[in-house]
Amino acid sequence: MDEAILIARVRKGDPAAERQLYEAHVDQTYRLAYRFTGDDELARDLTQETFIRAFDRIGQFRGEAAFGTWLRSIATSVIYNGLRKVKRFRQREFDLDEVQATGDSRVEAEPDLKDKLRRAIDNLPHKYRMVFVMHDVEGYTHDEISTALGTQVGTSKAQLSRARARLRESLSEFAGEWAS
Amino acid sequence: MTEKQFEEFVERVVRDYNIPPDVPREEMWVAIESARAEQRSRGALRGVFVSSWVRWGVGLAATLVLGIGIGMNLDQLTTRRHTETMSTAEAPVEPSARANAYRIAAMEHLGRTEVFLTMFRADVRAGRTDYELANPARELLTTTRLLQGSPASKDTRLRELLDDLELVLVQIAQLRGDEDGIEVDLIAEGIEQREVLLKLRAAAPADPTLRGMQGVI
Repeated sequence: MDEAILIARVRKGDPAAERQLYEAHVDQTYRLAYRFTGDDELARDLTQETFIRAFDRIGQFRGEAAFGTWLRSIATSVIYNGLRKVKRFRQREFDLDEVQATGDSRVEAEPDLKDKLRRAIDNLPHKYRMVFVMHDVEGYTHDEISTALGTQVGTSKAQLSRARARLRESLSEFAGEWAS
Repeated sequence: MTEKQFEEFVERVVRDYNIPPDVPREEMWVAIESARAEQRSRGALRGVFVSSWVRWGVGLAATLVLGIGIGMNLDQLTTRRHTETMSTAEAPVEPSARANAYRIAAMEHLGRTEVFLTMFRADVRAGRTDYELANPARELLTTTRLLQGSPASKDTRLRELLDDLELVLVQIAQLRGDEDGIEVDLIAEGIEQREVLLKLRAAAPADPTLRGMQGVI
């Protein structure tokens, strides 16, 4: 069915149309949320919040862009805000781990390269990580990213370049491995 | 090792970053439906209340603005007349009585602002923001600014509180409804950080009607 008709039905409060719209876009939204969080429960919460907001604000969707693009801009905003809250929570967990680790005489094995990369991505500032994950992991174009984040294409490119530079710097000690 | 080599490495390895599991479509849909149903039932109840609250708030704010405005004009008029005629027949208004009147107006205003900000904070915590609130925020902002210029602000603590309120109300008054939520969160964080509600509660009288309104909120 034409998405414009579906959206018109959602505007009138048709639950079946809401479900259809959800089915058409939920995979992409959940994937993005999971890539950012690495946590199923959190990814579910963020996906649900994205759709709740989208249905609430469907009256504001003017149809100038595709519904998926509009939904993605809501999703990135929800994810960004969600991550800010989770970061505070995880920082407390991390502090606790640090305290517990004190006095532990075992020497941790050096994490392998993939783990190191994963950590380096996790530690990127949110704005860089957002662009990096969307572009390099999920394969979005700079046009799609800049529309979702409400920035210029140039900003998206610059942030991706900075993200890569930071990762490269973080992994410099493994240069021999990733070059092979 | 070149940049190209690094990009190739990232491309090779990065696809393993947080690989999503199967999408739990059904569970999430049930949660969305239930949240929306709850929202609708709360919204129906809330809609009635918010509309009446807004009418009540705006009406009262208008009266207060008018009162403070008239008070300030009378002040200026009395001072001018007093200077011009130096009439001894005129009974001068006691400065302490005038200051008290402003103080009462300020307390009333603080009480209403407390109710308003409590409501705003509750909305933010529940993840929703009612942009109908921008209008009463503007009304409260007008009164705040009038009070900042009134004798009531000679009290340092009250003046500082009014300055804090002005900052918060300006931000709420500017909400248009198309923000991405970051602004709303930042306003709520600002309220917490400056302990605005605590200060309001310490300064505002324990007015039973206002407390009653908070209960409803």
